[in-house]
Amino acid sequence: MFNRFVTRSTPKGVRFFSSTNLSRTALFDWHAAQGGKNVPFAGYELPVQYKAGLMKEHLHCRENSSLFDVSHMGQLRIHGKDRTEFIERITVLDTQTLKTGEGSLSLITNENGGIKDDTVITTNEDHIYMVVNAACKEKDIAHMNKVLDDEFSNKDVHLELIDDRALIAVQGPKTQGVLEQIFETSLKDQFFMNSTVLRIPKLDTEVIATRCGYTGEDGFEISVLNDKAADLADLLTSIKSSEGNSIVAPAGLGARDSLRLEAGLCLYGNEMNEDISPVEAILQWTITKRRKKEGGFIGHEGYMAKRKKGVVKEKRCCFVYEGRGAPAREGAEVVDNEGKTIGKVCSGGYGPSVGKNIGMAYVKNKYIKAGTEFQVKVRGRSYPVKVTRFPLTKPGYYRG
Amino acid sequence: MLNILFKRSTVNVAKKTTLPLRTFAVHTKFTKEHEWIKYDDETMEGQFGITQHAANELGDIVFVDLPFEGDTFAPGDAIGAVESVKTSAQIYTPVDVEILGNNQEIEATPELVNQSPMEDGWITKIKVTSLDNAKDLLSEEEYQKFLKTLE
Repeated sequence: MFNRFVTRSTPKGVRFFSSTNLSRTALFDWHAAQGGKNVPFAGYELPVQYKAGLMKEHLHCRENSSLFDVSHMGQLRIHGKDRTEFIERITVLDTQTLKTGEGSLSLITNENGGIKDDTVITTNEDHIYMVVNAACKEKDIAHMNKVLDDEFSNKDVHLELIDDRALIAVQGPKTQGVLEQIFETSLKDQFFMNSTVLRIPKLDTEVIATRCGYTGEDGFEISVLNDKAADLADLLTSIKSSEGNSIVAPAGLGARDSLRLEAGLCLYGNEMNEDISPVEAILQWTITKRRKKEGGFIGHEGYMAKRKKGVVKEKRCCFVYEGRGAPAREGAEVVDNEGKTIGKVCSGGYGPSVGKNIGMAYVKNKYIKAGTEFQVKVRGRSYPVKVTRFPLTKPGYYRG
Repeated sequence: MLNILFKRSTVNVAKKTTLPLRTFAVHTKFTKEHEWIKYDDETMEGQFGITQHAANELGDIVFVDLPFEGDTFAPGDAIGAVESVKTSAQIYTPVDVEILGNNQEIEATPELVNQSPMEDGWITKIKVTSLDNAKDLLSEEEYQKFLKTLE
């Protein structure tokens, strides 16, 4: 019965299924032709890396420009004149801070103030555009439908799942130059977190191009019709440097993870989940003073309670290894210098650009200050690490 | 090796090129988990490492967790682990061994294991203390055949 609130962009949902019951994106064949090595991820078959390998793909993005297929993520439109009220009900977003065409990272909260998902929301003249995590999209849609049914049945809000579009992230310092050739227009006036509809003359198609990403670099996420996605990928990799090399190279899920970790960006399921509030996750910057005071979002009460001193016992911090060692990955134990358990690693690995092992952990409050030293344990061995402010690489976000 | 995420079709295991200078034989044996041991049948001493296939699967290796000199291990014991940017895999001995020392080179240059897993990128120096409980040791030819079945 909730389905009446959801329409699909195409009459029959377009999903590309493989024999293993995993979905495929519109770029599945393109990845194969590029030598992508697939793994199952959030119900999709996606390349973890290509021929170059994770390390090279990571470094290429920091120096040039990389293409990531993020079509598995959920793209939604919210229509209707009461859409602002609805978005402020289900997320912590302060729509008053956004001009038309501007976007922001926000959080979908549950009744207790826990994080149901993180999402990038862009407000447009006649609708709201929203990108949610692949692994959460079914849950998010069910949640939104329930809220629509329970609280907005007499109001004008309508949810649309965009399933006729792929999503291609192009990231790295040379991205603007490449995209200016593709869009055949200047992008110098489109700043970080701004979204526009742009035309690709060579492909005779319009795309939604949002200047955002998940690598710490300048870049765009391009929402393109499924049947033009492979052509766009080909067009992107056809742009050559003066030395005759492709400026844009494909990068897989592996590089995406190491890039975001160096940039200090949180991953849903690792740094965030339904039991973690923005207080523990150090994501309170996503909630403006007005939203804290006025509330209105689901879980506001629970969130405000967690803000009280002493309620939250553990918080997120970022760390860097002091020396070499086995990288502490998700789940690794964190101990103080006496060997007493003080927390757990939520993400960790080798940072190719910094040449060190890095990670994020949830630890007791008093250990989260930059400069604090503790240890992480891997297979019984302890390695000293230091709490460090991330990002570890200089952010490339373009603010004009 | 554990947790190898996907298969790779090209396999390039370096051929044994050293000629026997002495009268006893140097044996090179492989496991289905993509480790190798080399030992001569007089001293029973030799080296332990991972195969080119394993190194390729793991991708860029950034650290090798090494055992300590003097440690002894029984067949099936994890004697260390190889960490790549992508993942980690424990390494298991197929025979009873004593650790005689580690490859110091790979502590500073772990990428040696990617570049030359059968030669310069060996992991640890071992003495085979018993072959009685050896499990599924493959000759090079048998290992190559086994690799073909993974393609």
